[in-house]
Amino acid sequence: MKLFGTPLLDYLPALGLALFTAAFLATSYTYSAQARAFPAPVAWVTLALIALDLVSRTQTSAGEAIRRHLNPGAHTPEASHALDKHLAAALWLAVFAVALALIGVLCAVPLYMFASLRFQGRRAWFTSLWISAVATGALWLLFAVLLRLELYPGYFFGGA
Amino acid sequence: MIDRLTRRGFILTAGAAASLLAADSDYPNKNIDFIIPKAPGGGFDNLVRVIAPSLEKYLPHKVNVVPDNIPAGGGGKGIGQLYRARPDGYTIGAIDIPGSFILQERQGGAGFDLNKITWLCSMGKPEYFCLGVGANSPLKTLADLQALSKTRPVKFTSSGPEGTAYGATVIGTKLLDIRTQLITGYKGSSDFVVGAIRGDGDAVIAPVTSLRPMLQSKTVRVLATFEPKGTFPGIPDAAALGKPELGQILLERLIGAPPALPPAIKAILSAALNKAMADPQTVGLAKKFEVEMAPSSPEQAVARIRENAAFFAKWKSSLMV
Amino acid sequence: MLHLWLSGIGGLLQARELMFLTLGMAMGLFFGAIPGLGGATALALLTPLTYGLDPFTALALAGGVMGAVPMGGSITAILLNAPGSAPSAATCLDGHPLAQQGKAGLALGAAASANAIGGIIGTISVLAILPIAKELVLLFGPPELFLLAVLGLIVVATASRGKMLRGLIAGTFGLMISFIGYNDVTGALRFTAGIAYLWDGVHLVPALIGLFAVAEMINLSVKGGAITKDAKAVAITSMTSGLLETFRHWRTVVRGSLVGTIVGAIPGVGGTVASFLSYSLTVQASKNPESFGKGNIEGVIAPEAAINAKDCSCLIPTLAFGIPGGVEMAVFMGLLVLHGLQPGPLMLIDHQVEIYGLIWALTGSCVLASFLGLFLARPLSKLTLIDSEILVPTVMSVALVGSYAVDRNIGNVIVTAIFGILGYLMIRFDYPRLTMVVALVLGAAAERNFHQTSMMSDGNLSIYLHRNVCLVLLIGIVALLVAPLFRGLKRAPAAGLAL
Repeated sequence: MKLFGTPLLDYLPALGLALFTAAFLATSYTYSAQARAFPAPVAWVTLALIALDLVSRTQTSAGEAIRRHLNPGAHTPEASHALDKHLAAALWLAVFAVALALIGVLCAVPLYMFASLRFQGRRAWFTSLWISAVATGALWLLFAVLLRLELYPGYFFGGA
Repeated sequence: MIDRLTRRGFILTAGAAASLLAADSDYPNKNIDFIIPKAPGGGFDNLVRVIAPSLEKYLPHKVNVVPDNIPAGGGGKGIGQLYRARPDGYTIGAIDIPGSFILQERQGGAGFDLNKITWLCSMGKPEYFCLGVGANSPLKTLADLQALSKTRPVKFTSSGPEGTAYGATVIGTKLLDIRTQLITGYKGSSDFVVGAIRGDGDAVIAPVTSLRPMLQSKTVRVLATFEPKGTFPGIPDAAALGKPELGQILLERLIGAPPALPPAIKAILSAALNKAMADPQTVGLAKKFEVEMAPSSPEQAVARIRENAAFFAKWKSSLMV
Repeated sequence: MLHLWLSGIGGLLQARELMFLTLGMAMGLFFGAIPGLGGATALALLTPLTYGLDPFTALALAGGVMGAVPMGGSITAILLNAPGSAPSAATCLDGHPLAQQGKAGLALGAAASANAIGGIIGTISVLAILPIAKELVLLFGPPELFLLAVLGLIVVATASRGKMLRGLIAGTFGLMISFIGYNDVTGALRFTAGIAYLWDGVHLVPALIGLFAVAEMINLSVKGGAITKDAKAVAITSMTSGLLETFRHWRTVVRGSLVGTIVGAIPGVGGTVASFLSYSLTVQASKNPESFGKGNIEGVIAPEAAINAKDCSCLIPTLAFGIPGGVEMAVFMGLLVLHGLQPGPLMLIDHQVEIYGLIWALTGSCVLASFLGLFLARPLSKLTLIDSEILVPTVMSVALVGSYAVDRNIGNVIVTAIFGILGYLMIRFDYPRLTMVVALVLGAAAERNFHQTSMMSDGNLSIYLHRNVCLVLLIGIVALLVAPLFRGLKRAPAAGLAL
């Protein structure tokens, strides 16, 4: 589906930013005048710029003019990879970060590395196992032994 | 007030610690986190870093004492973290008084109550403040400053509204009948003192130890000192100014632990801290930036806080503006 | 003064001092390479070990660490898009694309030589201005710092030519993020949503690790393969090719070194601004600005020259007034205090030999580390041939654990993950990360300095017209805003002639 000659999905980045900026602006008005003296004008300027960005994505004459003067080198990404690949990559990261927070470094790192090598990288069981073990060992040696840093134990195991 | 503090309390505590030491032989068995609710690099931070290695020497077991700067929220985050930490002796913190009381009031007691902290000892003798201007300032005497204040508010550079220096500036200028406007937002004492030297503001009120090196290098001129008996030759002190209350504006640095710390661990930490502060290396280094280490017991620390808090409570309405 | 310089060198050229310098250099290189660690961690670990040493030896060790950290940071920035420290993030912009083209060796060689030359130029500049260090620090007050922040933001925004609108949006977005946390002037907590972690704002190093290292690993995970597919190009990498490129672009080296020296000497500004500003100015001055971000060797040389030049000059506000330019300097100040050297105006008078010894140690370490970097260029560039299925989880693990290690706060890991996804989206949807990073660094300082200036002048904006340095900065700002117009007008008649 298109709007002003451009697929709706192409407007998403600008709309996402606009949503964040609107929330930021609304929150800034709950603070004192001095406290919002900078944030509020910056948010208003951002909204104005995003409006220009939205127009620049359309196939109208105004959009063409803005693109020519302010964004000639910008490009709209082509769908070079399936959406699920992007989502999968982001999900692996999110799950790893949450695992680090919940079960700590020494549990999350080998689990993540093994799972990533075995299920995403499709490596053999044994290969995935020894690479995970070596990497975890190296991290432990570096941070816990050499740097004497207490590796985060995880929320479930007493971490703050 | 300082003269009334004796070593009796310290000796009693050390003795108690010795007997309790035998009862709690496991502690400590891992690193101790020493929270500093100030940015790295300032006098406060330096003192902790001087004490920490000596503290390691006097703990019953070999562990690391790790200084941890948590300056966020004017120090409120660090104090809050100390307050909420497990009372197991593995988190202690250095807190400046009365800045932290001002902070607690401003942030609506956001996450901590200083009256419930387990106080261990003080970190050196309290410090007095003094009033200075840049060496190139046209203001030569306190009278010049007071005369200026009759024509317009005098601009003082200071830390954010949560710091002890801010409180000292507000109260000191009121006692000296100087109309004031504060330029806040500087990151630490070095920053706001340099601000005054540079001419951002007309003057600065800062701890004596911050201004003395600047005086020696001729970048600052001291116009008045809040000490009861001045140590700057030819400069009026609190007595000469007829304002003895100026001598009650003090910067205290105390060491505390989370509420409900077991008495045995409290005694061990307190004794080790006092020994660390009496260690010749610590004393020598602290002397270099004019801090005199003075052992004290937890009870003496609490007494100091109560006195300090009572004085500053009188000025609450001025400080909360 | 010459005899003081020579005394400084003489003190350093003793077996013990050289040994500690080398040890510090090795540690600095190693710590600089691991994201999240950096010079501050290395110094913090070494400080207790220096108790028994005399001050001069301790300074040789510290100088060794600080001089080598940038080279370590460059290595991972180029190979893995993972900046070892915040200033190295600017090297990622063109260094990693070069690695992707199989030219990691070239980029590493150029970085190493720019590092060394930048450090030497920085040293010469600092030696020249040290006698007037105090006066220099006192020149920059809140009005000057505010205008400098504005200048920095404009330089960076106008550098994203071809994408100025998106560059400006990324910049204002970065400004909004920079306002999160405790406001030093008003004492207000803003945009924290009740999360204590955000009281001191979004931490810079975890955010940069996310924006660059993690985002690149997500990208690699989606694309598959290795960082580079051109094994042949990697194999024929010559150690000297990068070195020759640096000499070919000597103007870029000199420009970067001067930017680094000047910015480093300004209290509280920091190395990240120096490297990104140098990069942006090089883009502005280039005849092919659109080639930046795609593997232009000048995009490596410019920030690298600035980073090492600033290492010497940021000693000035630290030593002269005890105002640290960043965490590394703050930790270094702690080391000074432990050895009875209190930063302040008296230090510049009473401990000149030690200060010169430190400066020479920094320079020596920087040159040594650069040689080591040149030597390791070819073997290290083979890392770019490792398959993404092994590289991605390994680098992600190091990045997230390194992010935690910055200040042992698990919140950093969440920030890194969020900024990793944000960075990836910025790559996908073509929003420049450069403007956002600089705005993130400069935003809070710009606001604080603006408010302080208002308090100084009772809200009267003419204060900016009554101070000499402010006038110079204002002229620079106007010139930067007007320059694109002139360029456009110059091109129009030429186009007419071509027709």
